[in-house]
Amino acid sequence: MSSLTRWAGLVGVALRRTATKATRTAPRQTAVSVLGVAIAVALMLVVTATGLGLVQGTTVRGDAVDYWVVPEGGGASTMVVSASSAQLGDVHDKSAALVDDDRVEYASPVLISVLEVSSGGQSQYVLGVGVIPDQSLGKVAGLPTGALSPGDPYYADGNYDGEWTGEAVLSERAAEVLGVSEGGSLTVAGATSGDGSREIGVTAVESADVESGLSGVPVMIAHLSELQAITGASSADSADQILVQSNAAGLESALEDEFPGATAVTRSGFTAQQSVDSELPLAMGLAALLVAISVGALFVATTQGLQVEADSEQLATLAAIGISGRARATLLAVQALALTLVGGALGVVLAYAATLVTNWAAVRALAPVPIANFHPALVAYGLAVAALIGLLVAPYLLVMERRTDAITEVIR
Amino acid sequence: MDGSTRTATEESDGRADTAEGTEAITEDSEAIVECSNVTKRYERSGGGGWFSFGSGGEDDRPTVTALSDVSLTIEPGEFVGLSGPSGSGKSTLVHLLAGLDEPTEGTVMLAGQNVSSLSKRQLTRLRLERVGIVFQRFHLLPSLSARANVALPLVERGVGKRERRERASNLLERVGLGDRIGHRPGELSGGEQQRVAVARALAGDPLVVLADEPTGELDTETGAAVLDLLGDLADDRAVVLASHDGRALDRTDRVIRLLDGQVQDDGQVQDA
Repeated sequence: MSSLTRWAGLVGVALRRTATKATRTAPRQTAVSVLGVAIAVALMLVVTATGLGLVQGTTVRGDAVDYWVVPEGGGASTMVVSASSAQLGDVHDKSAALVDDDRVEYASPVLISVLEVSSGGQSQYVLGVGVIPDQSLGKVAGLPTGALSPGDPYYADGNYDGEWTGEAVLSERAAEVLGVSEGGSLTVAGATSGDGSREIGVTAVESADVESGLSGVPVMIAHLSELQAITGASSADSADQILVQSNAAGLESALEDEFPGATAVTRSGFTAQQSVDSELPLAMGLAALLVAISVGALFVATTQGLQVEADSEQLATLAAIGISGRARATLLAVQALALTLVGGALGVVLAYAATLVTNWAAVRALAPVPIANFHPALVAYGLAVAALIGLLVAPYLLVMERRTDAITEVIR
Repeated sequence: MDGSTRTATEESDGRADTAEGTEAITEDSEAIVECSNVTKRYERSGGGGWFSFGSGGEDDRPTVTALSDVSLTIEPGEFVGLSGPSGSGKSTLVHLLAGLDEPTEGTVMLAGQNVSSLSKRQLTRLRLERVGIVFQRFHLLPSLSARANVALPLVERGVGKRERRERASNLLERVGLGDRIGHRPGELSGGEQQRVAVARALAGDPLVVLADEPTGELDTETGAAVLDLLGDLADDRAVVLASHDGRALDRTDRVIRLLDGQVQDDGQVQDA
């Protein structure tokens, strides 16, 4: 109990010293230390969030999907916007053949394309996703597809001459940027059919799941054949991937037989392939981690090392009045940890703000997809790295303290 | 020892240590402080400063002798003054008595313990539990309140927060600063800071209080108040006051006069 009381008392003294230094006796040095850690952590988190965005931010997934069929060699990243990459062909017939298999509950091709859509003279780029809706399909790209007529009426008889529904489900972000609401109408420019433009009606405006990574992206979901007709993908009945729902295991080979030159990925395999595909983001994240730790630790070591030097008289006083070396070490370590944790917290806030700004700018300037995904776990990650910086710096500060001249030399 | 310098930092010195650091501290001697043939030499460093020369030191390099063959005994209840001009060895003797430094030759017994035989950790513990020190320049921690400064030794001793606050407040009351407990050193006058330092020195209920020029930075009136306070402390413990101020020394029971590191005189102060 006495030992615990002692440690608690020392931590209290260290925190009080830190607070007073921050507000009264050494505000500038304290601010520099905190900012150094904050910037290092913020940069690391932004890079990591961008890496996460590359891995999962724009992946189009369905919540009831068990298999993905993607063009071979593309990997999971093929599921990301892939207008210029290899596509699967003859997807209507092949997905219908899949559904005929008893082991398959449902299958839908997915076509992904960036579209220029206008409403009331306002033109914006949105991420168009074409699917064959069904109750079993659930959400795609984080949006429910239930508001679309089931099936693919425009391709009902195997040709692109059926009923044109013109239905679309918009994400809230898409509705916001286009200034439309449910029941409104849109014009898709650059269509390869319908005299160069097509009218689309807004069937529903839905909120995209945050975990889809697309909650901040303008997304429009429509019937596959209609999107194919708009984008020209109807010529080869092509799509980017097939989502397959099944409770059967080991369907990969059957799926790959159905789609020669394609790869079938299971839900678990998707994670594995995703991790393979995420080598670059992983490398980015690791590099950012090392840089953040190095820069943060050097920053804090420099500023706090100078502070220990300046505090040598106080530290000698503590030794003189009987405060043990271990207790003095505790004071320095807790002070370093407190500073880096405050810096880490500030860094997390900065990184979150920077991620928002980055995505905002990317959506407007680059493509209608987020390039960074600030996962909630990054908060803990940032604080953990900040704490690690503090722990790494503490031994250096202790060495600095031990180098303090003889007490009698310091105290006169 | 190969002539390398030794300091009073807490680096490992190879001497026996105990886990708690206090097991070796006992009170088997009536005298609180006992110096026998103590000599202290400093080696001149390359930069023009001085390195402390601990026990066993022997070297051909130039040295200066701060204390030479000093022997004295201080018992409980004594209010002892150390007098002498600057450079006479007063502060060196105080540092040796406090276990902040160690003699080059001879022995310093503090609370029954030979300081040269104790590890640095044990010495630190000894200071915590047996010695109170008052410095000329107060040496309070500017970031802590008066009460927190006084409570510092109690934190190290593992005293609970409530008791720490109570004891520190009582000590500040005792030195006349009951209404200044929440003030930081920067918000106190020099005299008040020195009284806080006295209260801090008393926090561990020490056997001996060592005061090195405690009135050196105070005006006459404030200094007199601090001296009165130190005099009162000698009722139940030894107080050693190093000063070159004759009026301060007049308040002590006994004055040891030092000159060039040697004891010139050790006697009772004559009542006026």
